[in-house]
Amino acid sequence: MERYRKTLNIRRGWMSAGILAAAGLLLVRMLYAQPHELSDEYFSGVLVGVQSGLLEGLMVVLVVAVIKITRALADEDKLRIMYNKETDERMSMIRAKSGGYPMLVCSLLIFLAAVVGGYFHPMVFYSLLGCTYFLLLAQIGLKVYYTRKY
Amino acid sequence: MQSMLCYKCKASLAIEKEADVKTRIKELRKERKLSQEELALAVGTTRQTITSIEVGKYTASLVLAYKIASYFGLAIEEVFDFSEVEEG
Repeated sequence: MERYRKTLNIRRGWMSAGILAAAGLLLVRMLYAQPHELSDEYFSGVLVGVQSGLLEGLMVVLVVAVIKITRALADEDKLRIMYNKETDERMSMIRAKSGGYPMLVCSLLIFLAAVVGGYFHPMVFYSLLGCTYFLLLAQIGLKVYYTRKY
Repeated sequence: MQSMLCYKCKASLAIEKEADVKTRIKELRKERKLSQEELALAVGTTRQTITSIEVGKYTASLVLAYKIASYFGLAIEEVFDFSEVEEG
């Protein structure tokens, strides 16, 4: 359990750094954002909104995760429950069957490609964004299916 | 029969389809007045996994089966009923 405690401490450090980075980027965006830099004003607004939403969403997720880890580190029972959840063989199997981390990484990469591609053409952005949503929905659907099955 | 890798020990296992392995976990728990949560915590798994094993939806790995049996102070075959598992 001591090793897991160390892992959680490291994870919490990285997450805190992520929160600071996201907050920094949001601040930069607020101070220097130029929503009309693209020819299509409406699309420019959408792109800025998606980027801000991503950063804000990321911050919320990371803050919640840091709070959970901090609580678990202070309570031995909660720590054991968290460890059991992470290493549970049935959950590992469900995760693997529903695509697991590779599918999540693919979704993230496609989303990043959508943001970058958006600077070239709005259609690229919408297509890749739709693709990301589809992948995430498929993964959620598979997870629900296998959780009910096993 | 379907071949799968054990997620704990990475050994190749022949996992039978659901409900082939019956268990006495529920009965043993009731005898000892244990909740699923307590058993799960003791053997290092989650309450949902214990539920799935009890209802026969999920077949425990060899490692988990051993941990559960050890917790009750019994042999694996005294907790898990392999009589319906086909050989070969």
